[in-house]
Amino acid sequence: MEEIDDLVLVGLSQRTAPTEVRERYAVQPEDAGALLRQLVAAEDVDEAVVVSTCNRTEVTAFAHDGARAIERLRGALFRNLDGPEVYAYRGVHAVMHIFRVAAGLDSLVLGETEILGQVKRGLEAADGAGAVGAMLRPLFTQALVAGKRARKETAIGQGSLSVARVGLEVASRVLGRFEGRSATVVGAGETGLLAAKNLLAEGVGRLFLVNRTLQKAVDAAGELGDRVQPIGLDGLADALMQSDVGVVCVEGAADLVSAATLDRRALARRDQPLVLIDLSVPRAVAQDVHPLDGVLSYDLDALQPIVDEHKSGRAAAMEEVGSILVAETHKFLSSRTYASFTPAIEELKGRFDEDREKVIDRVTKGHASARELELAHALEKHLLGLALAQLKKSARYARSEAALERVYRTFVDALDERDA
Amino acid sequence: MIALGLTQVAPEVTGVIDPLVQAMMVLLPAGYLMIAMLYGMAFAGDAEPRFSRVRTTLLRLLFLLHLTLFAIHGAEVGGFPDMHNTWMAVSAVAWAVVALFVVVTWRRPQPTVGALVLLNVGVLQAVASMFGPMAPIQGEASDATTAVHVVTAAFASASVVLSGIYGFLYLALLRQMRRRTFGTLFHRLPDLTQLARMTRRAALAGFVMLALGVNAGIGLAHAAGTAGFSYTDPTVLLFLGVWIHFGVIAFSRQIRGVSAQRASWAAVAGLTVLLGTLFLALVPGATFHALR
Repeated sequence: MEEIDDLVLVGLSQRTAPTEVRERYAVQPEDAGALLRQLVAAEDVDEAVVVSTCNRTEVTAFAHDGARAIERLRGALFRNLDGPEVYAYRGVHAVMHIFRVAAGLDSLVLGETEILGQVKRGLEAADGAGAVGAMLRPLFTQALVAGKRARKETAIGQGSLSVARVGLEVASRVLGRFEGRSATVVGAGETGLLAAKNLLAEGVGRLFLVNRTLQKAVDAAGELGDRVQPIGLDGLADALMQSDVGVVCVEGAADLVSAATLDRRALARRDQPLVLIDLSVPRAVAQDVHPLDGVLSYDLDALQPIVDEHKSGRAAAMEEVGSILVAETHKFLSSRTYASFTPAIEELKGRFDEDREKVIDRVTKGHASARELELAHALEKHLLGLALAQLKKSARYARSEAALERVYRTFVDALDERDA
Repeated sequence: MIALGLTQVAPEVTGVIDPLVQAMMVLLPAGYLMIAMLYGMAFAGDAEPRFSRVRTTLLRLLFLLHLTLFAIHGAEVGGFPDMHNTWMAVSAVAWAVVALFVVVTWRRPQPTVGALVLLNVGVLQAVASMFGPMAPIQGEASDATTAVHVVTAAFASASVVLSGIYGFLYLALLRQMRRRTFGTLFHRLPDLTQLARMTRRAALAGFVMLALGVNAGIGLAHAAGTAGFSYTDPTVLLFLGVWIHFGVIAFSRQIRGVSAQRASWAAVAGLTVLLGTLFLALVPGATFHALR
């Protein structure tokens, strides 16, 4: 069995689980460190990284026994959930999945860019908890490289491709143009700020930035410009009632906006309905808001059909991204194979040093000049370089890219079949 | 009263005109329905510009052909055509809808709403053609006040039709968005704000035209020295009611509590009443309306 087979990934995402399940199993950023420490404290898990976003909760681990690690991770993160919502990958499949996630191919909105930052933060959190080492650090670093390449070299990242953008696309079907409109963004996190930037770029006249910690909203408003008015949570209801569109992107604040938050009489007096876009997991806009007159509310599940349309229009780009991911997977696996040669390389280097000393002693009878020593070192370095280059070449050809391409196709076909 | 100065067609010429009119009666509804189909194809398909030029040219040609039909009738009576025939009134409303639509879409084409507008026009003209006389009209030329009354009433009715259609589309799109089903309407229709604006503008045009039409009608009644005329006449009250109804829609943005959704419902109700009235009036022997 190869070392890579002990790399495992267990998780759930919007492809397998509805929002109400995802919100139950989301890992909040403040809890990630403790969870990671707990995972690697177990005897059989060496490294772990958790990526938890509004659309997915996944843990990747490098363990002594892949099969046992999958069970352990399931139990730790997805207790009482033994249905098809939870998926598990091992070895090359796990690598390919992580690369697909980083490239935005597994996102709710195809090619969206937020996921790169979220993967990066997952790696940083694991680093902070001392949970990453020689396997997961290069793996996630390579995933970030693959994600950046996918967006830079293909059309997957072009156009309006973020969850926030899709939300605004829906709002625009009510409001038309955003110029002069009022908007509220709840949450000054990454998604919230992205939504705020998008709204400002569309020309909204006034934007209320609502955040639990007022100072954070004030700081963000300072960066966003004069049109932004920072508000604490106590001003949420008023801000929404004064707005044409509200985008809610908060973490761990279930049912922050409910029917009781909104003034029904004021809603009935509105000319056009208030559009509420809830990008939060768990959902921050309660279900009792949807039936209200004067409100159109959409959560991540509701936006899914539009996202699917984006996907169908990007089939060609997905093919190109697939090729990049295969190449990056090949590069990563080759580097792992080469890394597995490390003991042999160390031994080789030792033998070269030893033989150099022996040969130089024999030739110079123990009276080598500085020039002769320099020559011997240079010769050894050159020969060692040739040997290592040969090893690298062997590592590269340990797996053929064509074979990986076939594995990738089968993997994607299986995913499509599962989705269908 | 001032008679409109057209020379009456000589009796021997009507023998030539008659088959021409009959051909137009078939050609007009068929043409409108065909254009409605072309608009429908644009609405359902991705490649909108494919037939756009053919469609626009055909619509303008039909518009002129329709106008020619009225001109022929005008020539037959030697002045402004007598609109007491119900089929003629329905046909005039259909033509006025086309006229408004051509003007509105002159610079900003609206392929997504065109299908429904032209379908309505096609149906109106088909009904008018079915009930219309195949023989030349033996009526009298109308005077200028009657002409103003008739033209404004036709355009007012056309505005009601357009306002109702836009209102209907607003409600359909709103329903789709509420149900979170992002189908063809979601992708192809103008946004809700734009649809509400179109509904209100059409209602405003109807409001103004009705104001002119009702006043011209009252003027007519006075000029004729109608013994039975009264401001409490059901016909007058009905039109005043319709006038206020469309005033409320037109200015609903400024009226507290009348949302775009409610204004759209009102516009659809107005269209339903109008169509119902027009079709009920087609009962054989009935005239469009007359003050006794």
